[in-house]
Amino acid sequence: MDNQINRDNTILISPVTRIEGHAKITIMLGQDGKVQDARFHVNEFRGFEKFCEGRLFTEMPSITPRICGICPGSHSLASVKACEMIMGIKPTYTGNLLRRLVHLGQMVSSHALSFFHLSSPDFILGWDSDPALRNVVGLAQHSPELALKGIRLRKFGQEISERITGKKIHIMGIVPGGMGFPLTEENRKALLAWIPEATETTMIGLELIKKYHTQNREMVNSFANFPTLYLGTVGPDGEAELYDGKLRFVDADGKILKDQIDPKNYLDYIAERPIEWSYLKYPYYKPYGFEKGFYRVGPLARLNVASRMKTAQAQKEFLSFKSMNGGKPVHGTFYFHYTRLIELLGSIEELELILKDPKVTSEDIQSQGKHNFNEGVGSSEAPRGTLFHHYNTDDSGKLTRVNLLIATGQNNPAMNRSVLEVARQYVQGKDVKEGALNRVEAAIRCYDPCLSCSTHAIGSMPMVIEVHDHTGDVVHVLKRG
Amino acid sequence: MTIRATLSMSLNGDKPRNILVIGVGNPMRSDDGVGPYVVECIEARRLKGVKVRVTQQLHVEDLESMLDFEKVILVDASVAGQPIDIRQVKGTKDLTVSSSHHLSPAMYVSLAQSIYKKDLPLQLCSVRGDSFEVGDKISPHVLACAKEAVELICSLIES
Repeated sequence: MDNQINRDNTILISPVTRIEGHAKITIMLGQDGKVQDARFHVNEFRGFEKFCEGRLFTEMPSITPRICGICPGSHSLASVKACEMIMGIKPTYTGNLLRRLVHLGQMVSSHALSFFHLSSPDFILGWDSDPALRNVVGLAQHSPELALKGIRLRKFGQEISERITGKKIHIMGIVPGGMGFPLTEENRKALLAWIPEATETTMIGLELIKKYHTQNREMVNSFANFPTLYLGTVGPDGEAELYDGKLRFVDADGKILKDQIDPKNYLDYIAERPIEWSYLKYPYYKPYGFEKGFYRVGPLARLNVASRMKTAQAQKEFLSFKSMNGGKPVHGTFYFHYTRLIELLGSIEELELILKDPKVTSEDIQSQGKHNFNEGVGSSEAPRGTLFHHYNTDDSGKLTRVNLLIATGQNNPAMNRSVLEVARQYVQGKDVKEGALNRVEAAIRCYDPCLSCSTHAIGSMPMVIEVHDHTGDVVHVLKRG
Repeated sequence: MTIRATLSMSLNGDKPRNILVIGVGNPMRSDDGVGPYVVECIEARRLKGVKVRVTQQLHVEDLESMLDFEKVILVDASVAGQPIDIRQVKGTKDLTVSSSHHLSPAMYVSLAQSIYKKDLPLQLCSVRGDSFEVGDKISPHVLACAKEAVELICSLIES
């Protein structure tokens, strides 16, 4: 990573490492050398919506997983739900079970990647350790056993997808009406056999983060800690739900602003405003307006909005998490890691329950339908937050409009605020140490953003941090690679 | 990563060939799809003892299965350098490029040593792309290079 100070008291961090996609952070210094403002820019334009227009809506479940190699299942699920609304059909019971398995498996692999490979090097190797080794390879050299456990947990998540859909990355088996292939008994048993190891590894991760919290209480609680609204999906009783449910908004005090919102009505509650310095728009809670309506999604948000978890061990951890702020939302951005692990635990428990459902291997996996309506909306909880797919078609079924509201876009205002908070805390003047800038990047990593991981050509660069002085000149640049 | 074909041992009477060719890239990002394209061409030749896979990105958990092969060849698009380049991948101490979503080939080699205490016999074939915009067409001259890359890789396999 190259740090660069330019003439104008501005710090540039680009690319932000260990996040999905390409991005840049700029930090603006005042005349006194203190941080005045900071911004998180997304430089890569996503043209998927336009690319999809004119195609048949039934192609979308196989096209949209290619948007992302990390959460293809969430895109596929949101997409088939939108298609099912257009067709006026519902998936079968077993179709739903298999979809839940795929979705939970993706949650496991994505959360495992985020915690064990992307974020834990900061906790285990130290914020100020050699940036050349503060990554998964460095972790493997320092703690090979832990690194291997993390790799195997991710492998479990990927194996779920592979055994159910035949593919690990670009999931093809999720179709309108249900699933394309049944789960064989052999595959069911093979997946169940993973549960004890996956649970054990998750508990190791939970203990690791709890120990870190205990030893670094002040840092954890002060790290980008600011009140926001929160959005997440819940079941009928307010239980945390990842696959299917209704939307709930809560305010910074935990008061429910709106509950049991049908996802198809998302535009009644969410609006977006473009900003000049990023391709990501600023979404906000419509009733509160642009200034007061910014909200967060993802693991922290889901646990802040939920009344309870669905499974026993996750519920125990959830109560512990809830007690941290007297039952009110926890606002510290660092708590994304902790809540991610609680979700991971709950996902593994739910996987076990579904795999033990006698109907999971049934061959009644798909209902049939045809083009009946010209509009469809689908949503799912991607690992990094609530995801919406919204399609309009003409009478032949060709798409006339596609709107994808992704989780990272919804967290964009909060990521910007987090970068500013952490920059103010750790950056003082032009003489910026790498460890300080790593903390600024880490604020972004808490959200585990997925900006655009669709292109992976050798030589592409994921992130830059820039520091600008009060005149606007760049005085410091930090580059990865 | 998805196994696209599994073919049996060589018939030449020598040690069975056991080679894995992996195409990396997203076919919906124009020239980024050149890796999967090359691998599809190789798959069509049904070379004995050669398995092929395609993946959008290199995942850390795929490393373990790569260690089962005598040789692993990655085929990926590049944004700079020669139109076609094939080289042996070595581990590196310069690991500052630590992207979240995938590992670099050099990191694979380093991880193989750190975690599994094994040498990963990894070769990288890069084909320089021009356009990485959303789209499912590979640029004509990149396509020509891809066909050349297929021949080079097949020669490498046969050698």
